[in-house]
Amino acid sequence: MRLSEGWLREWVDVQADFTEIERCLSLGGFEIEERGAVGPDAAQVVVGRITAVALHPDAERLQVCRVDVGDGVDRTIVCGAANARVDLRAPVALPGACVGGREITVSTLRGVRSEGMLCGAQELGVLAEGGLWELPTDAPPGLALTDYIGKERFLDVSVTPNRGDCLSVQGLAREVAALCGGRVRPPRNYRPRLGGEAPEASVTASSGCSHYGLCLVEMGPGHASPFWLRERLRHQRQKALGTVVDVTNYVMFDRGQPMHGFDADAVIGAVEVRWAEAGEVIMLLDGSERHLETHDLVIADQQGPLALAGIMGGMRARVTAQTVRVLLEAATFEPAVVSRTARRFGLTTDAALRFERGVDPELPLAALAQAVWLLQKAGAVRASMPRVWRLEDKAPVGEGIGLRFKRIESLLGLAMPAAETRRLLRRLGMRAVPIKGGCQVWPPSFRFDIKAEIDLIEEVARVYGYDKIPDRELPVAAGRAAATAGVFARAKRLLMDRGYNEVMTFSLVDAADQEALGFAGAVNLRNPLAGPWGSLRRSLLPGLLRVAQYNRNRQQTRLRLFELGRCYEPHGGEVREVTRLGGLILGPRYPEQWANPRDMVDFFDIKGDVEALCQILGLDLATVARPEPCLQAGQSAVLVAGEQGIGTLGALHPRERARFGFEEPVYVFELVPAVHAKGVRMAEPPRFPAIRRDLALVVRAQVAAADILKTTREAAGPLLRELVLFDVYQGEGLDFGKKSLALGLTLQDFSRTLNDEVVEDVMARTLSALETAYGARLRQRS
Amino acid sequence: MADGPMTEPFAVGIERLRTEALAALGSIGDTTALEAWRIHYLGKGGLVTEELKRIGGLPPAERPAAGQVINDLKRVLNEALDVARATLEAAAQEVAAAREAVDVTLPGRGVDIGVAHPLSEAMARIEAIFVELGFTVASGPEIEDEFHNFEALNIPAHHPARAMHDTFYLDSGRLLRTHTSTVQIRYMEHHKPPFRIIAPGRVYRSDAPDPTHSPVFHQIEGLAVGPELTMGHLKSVLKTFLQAFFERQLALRLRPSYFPFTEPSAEVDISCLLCGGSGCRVCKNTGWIEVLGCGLVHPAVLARVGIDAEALGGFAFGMGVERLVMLRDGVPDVRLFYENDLRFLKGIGTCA
Repeated sequence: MRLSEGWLREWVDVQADFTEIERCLSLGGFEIEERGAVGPDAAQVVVGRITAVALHPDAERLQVCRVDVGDGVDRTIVCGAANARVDLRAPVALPGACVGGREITVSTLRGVRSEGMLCGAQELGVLAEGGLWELPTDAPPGLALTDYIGKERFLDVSVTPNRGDCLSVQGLAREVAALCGGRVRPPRNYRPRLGGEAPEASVTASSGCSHYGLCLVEMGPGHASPFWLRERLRHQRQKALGTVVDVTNYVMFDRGQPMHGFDADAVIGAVEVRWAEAGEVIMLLDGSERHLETHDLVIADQQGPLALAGIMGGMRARVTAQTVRVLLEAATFEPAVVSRTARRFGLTTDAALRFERGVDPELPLAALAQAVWLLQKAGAVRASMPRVWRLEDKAPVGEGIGLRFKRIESLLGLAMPAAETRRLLRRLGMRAVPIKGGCQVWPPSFRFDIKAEIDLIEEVARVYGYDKIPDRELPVAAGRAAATAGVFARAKRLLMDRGYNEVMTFSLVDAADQEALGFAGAVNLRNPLAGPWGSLRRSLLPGLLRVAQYNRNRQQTRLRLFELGRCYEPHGGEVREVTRLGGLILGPRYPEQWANPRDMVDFFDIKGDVEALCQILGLDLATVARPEPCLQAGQSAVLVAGEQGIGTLGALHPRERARFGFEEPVYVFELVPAVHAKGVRMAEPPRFPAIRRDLALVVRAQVAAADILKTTREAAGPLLRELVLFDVYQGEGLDFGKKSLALGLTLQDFSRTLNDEVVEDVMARTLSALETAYGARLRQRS
Repeated sequence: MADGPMTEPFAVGIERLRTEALAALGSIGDTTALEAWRIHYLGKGGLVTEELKRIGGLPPAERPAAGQVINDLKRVLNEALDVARATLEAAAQEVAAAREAVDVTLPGRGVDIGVAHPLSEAMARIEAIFVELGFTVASGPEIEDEFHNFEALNIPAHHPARAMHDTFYLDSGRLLRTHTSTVQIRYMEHHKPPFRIIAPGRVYRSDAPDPTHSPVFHQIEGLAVGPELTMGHLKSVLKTFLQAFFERQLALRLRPSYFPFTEPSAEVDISCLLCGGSGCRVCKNTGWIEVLGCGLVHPAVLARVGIDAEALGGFAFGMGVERLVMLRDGVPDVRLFYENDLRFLKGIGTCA
């Protein structure tokens, strides 16, 4: 809500200067979004009067005007505005003035010398209206424009949704009075000249409209809204749109009561406030056609809807410059009703904004009187008695609201004297009657937001000042971090120490990315934004790949990335939110450095990282070769812990590599970091020596190392302390299709020193098991 | 025993031997020659041993003195040998070390260390601060229903406040939570007061990304319910937290505001981090920066989850993690957090 100083001071008598008013509003719950001066900021711009207009001899669209700027010598000014005419008073920028960032000079336009510029409001940066800015006929030529229209400061005040009563100058003036210690002036007693029959109306949708007021006004010839009123509208950034609309807009900004005018001669029969019938259509003032439903509230006549109640009028009975008889409406519509319809149609009008938040039910009659009075000043010739139908007596709570002083203390932590409390309530326009231990309070009709004791306590605190509430220390208590926090932090630290950088990507990803990577069936948004954010991620990989691509395109050649975050897994109609940990590597294994080798990462780099992670998470991990849609055949594995698949690991599929534009191989992993942290159990170190024996085996190349290790463990039995696979070889010296695996077995008995016999027995048993299972034989030394 | 043509006293011969041996030792330059010298003089058949054998040929009265002279000679030569050996070894080590010398200014071998994302780092810090203040970390689902996101928080279907939460909906009619305040309700449904919790997490608003908006962002919600909790407690908790988070003394200002689920409600301003309150571009010349919203839990919210609002009270607060990090580290654009440009992630410390 715009608040200009002069307008505000008309409503409130207050000592405070404008800066102090701003501070009070801000500390009273009204955030100030902007402050400034209502333009124009125009030196060397004066009032001018056009004394003669002639066509430009050499340009169709231009006119040559003679302009009186008060110094006795008319000047010649070339002008292109259509509304240039004799006797029009408009701003003139004299040579030396600066308009729209351009210095005005004496210049020659198509052979005619022009000594200045006739200005529109738009050119002076005050309003987006075309044509010359028409000043009143009493504006004295030569007077500086800023002296004539005055220079006003303004505040742009943000009004919270509970304070619909403050969407008017009067409403904010009441707040300024309460917060800065001033006095609100009562509204002027408008006494329009009235006579004749009041118009008829019926309200059948009484649950949508508690008060409905009408008045019939007849406009005389040559009516126009006064310049001061148009200036005030300009302060509200509202265009002047003709006498009737200007006046109804003015009353809305002044008092907070949205109004509407119908062309009475276009209304057929009596006006009705009713629910729309299904299938009814209305063409609105913005030119749009709206199909109505039965919970849309309309103002209608015999022929159908005339307006969407409280939101926007219709085309059929709109007021135009030719309208003579105007039906003025001021009503109280139900916030939820207006809100529902406005939201459905995406309409945010000044009227809807106010009705959604609530409008003082006492206002319609006062607003009609004020509007009629203003219209009569502007050229209305006759007006009927205004009439307001009260359908639902929304009188303020009959017995008032009880306020206990003890409750104030227990919520604010502050013992406020009773007299102070009552004084603060009265400053807010409330009636406060002392009762035992508190007071009984009746809020004024415009404070329809005050319904319960807590609302009163908030009001008291607000006006008293939050800064006066003393700090109180909380008693000591123990807090707990999330159960997984420690292990997750450790896992993240491990990855970072191994050179991975943490990234955070949107949980909303491109549906096409998910599908291409094999994560079809993801949950999609019903109302996505335009952009690649329509689908809830099932995997961290789409995000990681996009980040890798982004950085790869910015000369980053060695990438190690990870993300820990939730994914959203459809599961039988429900969606499970699962925390996943994903990683990606590409490029050289080591940072470029004189001592580091230059080779590129491979499968076993990322697998080593995953194995280290699993140690931290306490997972006993097995890797099983299995094709995955997003991974390259032969370098694709699932991670299995116990019986459960918990993730995947491998090289990105060449198809996806190409799609993301990676030239080099990309390795990824993703797992559900279920925590099984076992902790380390301490044990006394064994006292007897261990014996190490190696086995160099030859097997078929297809035999999985994991199987060999598993069989070895089983066959060697409980004496096997450690088993390493220390060499893998394939090539010269071996038959085609064979590979050699070198195993190192460490054997140890905790209760005695092992003798050769036992060791040989274990080795023989192991070899024999491997021979049986995989046809393994010992590699012959060459 | 054959005497030389010119018999001389025994001691004189020994003295000559000593002079000769020490002179020979002085010119030795390597360990092989040194060993040969040792054998020549001190070995089993060496010159000193030979002299020793000669003692038997001396008159008995001279023998003790001659023995003493020989032993002195042996000791002197052995000491000289040790010194010469040590000198040679030191010289040899020096040569070897020179051969193995490196440019110690060359960078060390190894990998570089990665960094945490500024948002996750900030959230971990915020959590740690609140745990110290006695808050327990809780969480809730991101996919929510209308009840927990709106109705239970006093935001009925056509409340104007709903328009401020541009909500993403799923086909199922569920929605993506627009604030972490949902966790207040979820926690209160299943826990008995007193409690203090914070709930960090992702929230969603259908705002197209721009320098100050992101459709996905992070909030941290706080809630404390118990007997005798007042606005004063809320102020002190927030002050402690904000000073710990920004690592400096700050002035705090509570401005009345409106949230449907708290009353009284407030916005919290801190004294401007850049100018300290005198007014600058960052604080738009007000000296204050808005950092979070808070209030006392609305009695209707407590009643809806079965908590007696007369006996117990509570306060709640909510803050945007991105905003706090942007203020603290001078990050100019919220989109930077989600672009994940490694140069940004690694260099954030130089932003301020």
